[in-house]
Amino acid sequence: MKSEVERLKIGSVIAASIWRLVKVNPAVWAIVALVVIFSALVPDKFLSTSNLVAILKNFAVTSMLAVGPTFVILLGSIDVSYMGIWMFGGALVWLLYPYLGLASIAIYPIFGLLVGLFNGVVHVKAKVPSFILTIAVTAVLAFLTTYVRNISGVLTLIVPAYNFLRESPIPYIPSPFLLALPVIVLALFIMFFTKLGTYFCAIGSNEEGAKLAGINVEKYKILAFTLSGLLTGLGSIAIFVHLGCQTRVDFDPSELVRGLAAIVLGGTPLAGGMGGPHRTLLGALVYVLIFNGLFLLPGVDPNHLKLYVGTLLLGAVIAASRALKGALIA
Amino acid sequence: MAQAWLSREWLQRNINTIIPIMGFIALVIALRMANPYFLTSWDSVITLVYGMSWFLIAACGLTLVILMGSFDFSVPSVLKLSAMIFAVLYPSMGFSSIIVAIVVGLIFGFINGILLARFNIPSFMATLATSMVAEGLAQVISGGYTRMITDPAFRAVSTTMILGLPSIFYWAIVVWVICIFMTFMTPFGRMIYAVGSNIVGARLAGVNVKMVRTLVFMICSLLASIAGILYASQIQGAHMQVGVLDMIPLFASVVVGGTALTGGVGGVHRTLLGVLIIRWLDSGLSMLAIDLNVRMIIFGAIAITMAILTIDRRRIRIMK
Repeated sequence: MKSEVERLKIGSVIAASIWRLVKVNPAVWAIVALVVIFSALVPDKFLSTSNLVAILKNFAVTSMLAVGPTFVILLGSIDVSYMGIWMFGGALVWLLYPYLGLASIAIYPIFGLLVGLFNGVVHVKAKVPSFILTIAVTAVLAFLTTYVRNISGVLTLIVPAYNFLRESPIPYIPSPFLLALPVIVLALFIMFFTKLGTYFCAIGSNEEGAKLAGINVEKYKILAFTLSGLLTGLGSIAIFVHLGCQTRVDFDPSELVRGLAAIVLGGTPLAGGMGGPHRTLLGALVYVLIFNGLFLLPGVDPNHLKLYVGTLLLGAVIAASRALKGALIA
Repeated sequence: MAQAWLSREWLQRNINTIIPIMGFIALVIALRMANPYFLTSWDSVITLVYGMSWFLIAACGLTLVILMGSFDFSVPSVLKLSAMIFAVLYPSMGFSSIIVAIVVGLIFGFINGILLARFNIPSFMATLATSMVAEGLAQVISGGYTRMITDPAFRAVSTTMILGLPSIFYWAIVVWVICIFMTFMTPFGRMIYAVGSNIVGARLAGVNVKMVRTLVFMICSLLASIAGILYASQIQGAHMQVGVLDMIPLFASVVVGGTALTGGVGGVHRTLLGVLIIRWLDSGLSMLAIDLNVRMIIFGAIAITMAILTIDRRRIRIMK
């Protein structure tokens, strides 16, 4: 009978959290509004099956860039190394494939874990501002990827042997989305069913207080960075498959903004202390819907992507800034 | 302050002066050994001056922002946008298009400053967003093409030879000296240091923190605009290649000079040495036919190492 009670309890927890999700997250209303607007403006294009599949794919990619770093943003720090992990991890898969075969995809999470650990240790022990540190790490890894491409004399770092991953067993559900699901579940599990989520929020809202309450702040900070790297590494597999079993070989800042924009749009404040991966998922959906619908409209030039991305991020940070009142910001 | 010369404390206190000077000397020796023609002819000196002058102007602005404890990502993007606006408008408007380019730069600086001071948004996030907007605008107004300016009168702004050196060198030195004067001789300069070293203390001492922050971001973008216009003059036009990626050498040259990322430590006077080190290293490495990507990796590694070495850890309790 115990299991019955537990099941009921879990069910009510889930129902209550879904209700809270809708109540406190403006992103839900934004999603509804976007769907209504684009369905009204371009119904035949926006609601077509191929477009909905494309939305699912892009949602998987955007959320995989943003879910990991959310844990670091909960601390009030920031982690933009996801771009470097994604790019150079793919180059490592390409480099190691001749030796390891299909197992070489496992290098993605391992590499992500190591980069996250490095970020965490340097940020905590050497006290380097996390944004500067992780953006330098991303830049170094991105240039390393381009360098690997240049010296190997190929156009793309493509590994065709993984093409079987692109076939989805379920019709209309793209395989990048299926690959992203376990990472999403893992992130939500860590946030809601372990003490880590609570500890990260505690450190983010008041670090001194968390220290006084007996939390080993340094340990949990390093853990947050490591977790961010690991989740990004796992999630990068979905992006790798989405791009046709290859990685990006040139650095594009608008891809970097994608992850940050999803987090900010979701409503996790940059000062830390509240929010979490569930909000980031909503933010990723908002981001994907905006750009999916925008480029369906007539007269929108895809060459001006950077302008739209920049304006969106600007609007998002301004809209989210009411959570930052009174914080001491550099 | 009377510490024994070369003692442990003395080294710790002066590490952000010792490293740039030693690094510079080591770099010159290494470049001479790698390339026997380095700095032997006056032409090579002029080439180096062309490479670093516009860079120094932009780096001075970034130094002011870092001194204040903030960060400005949008410097290369504003530089590119100003150069591009100037190059697009010059055929129809002549030299008065300088005003448009500079006003656009000032507007971007004002937005950056307001986002930080009024809306309390972390400066790197705000400037990352505005840099994307600036990049996008440059793309929109240029259509993605390189715009050439063939008017010799405009080229003369930066390439007239005075005492054997091109005039862009004197522009850069004038900007550098004005910045040094501003930071050390005026109350406003001391306010920048005050905000950078202790923002709460500065506010309690009556410094108008919001105004100082906004003004410094405006100065930074103004200098980026000036650098962009002079760069356009030097290369006879504007192109889309300058951009966010130039942030790495720019940032590296500021921290290599010895300005700490946490703010309040360092100064604009140090940035000259940082720019010399980074630009000479850049040209030395490219003479050795080293790939651009590897050069960027080296600059990134140098920047992070110097940032770790120069941060004053006694002062900070919580690092975000």
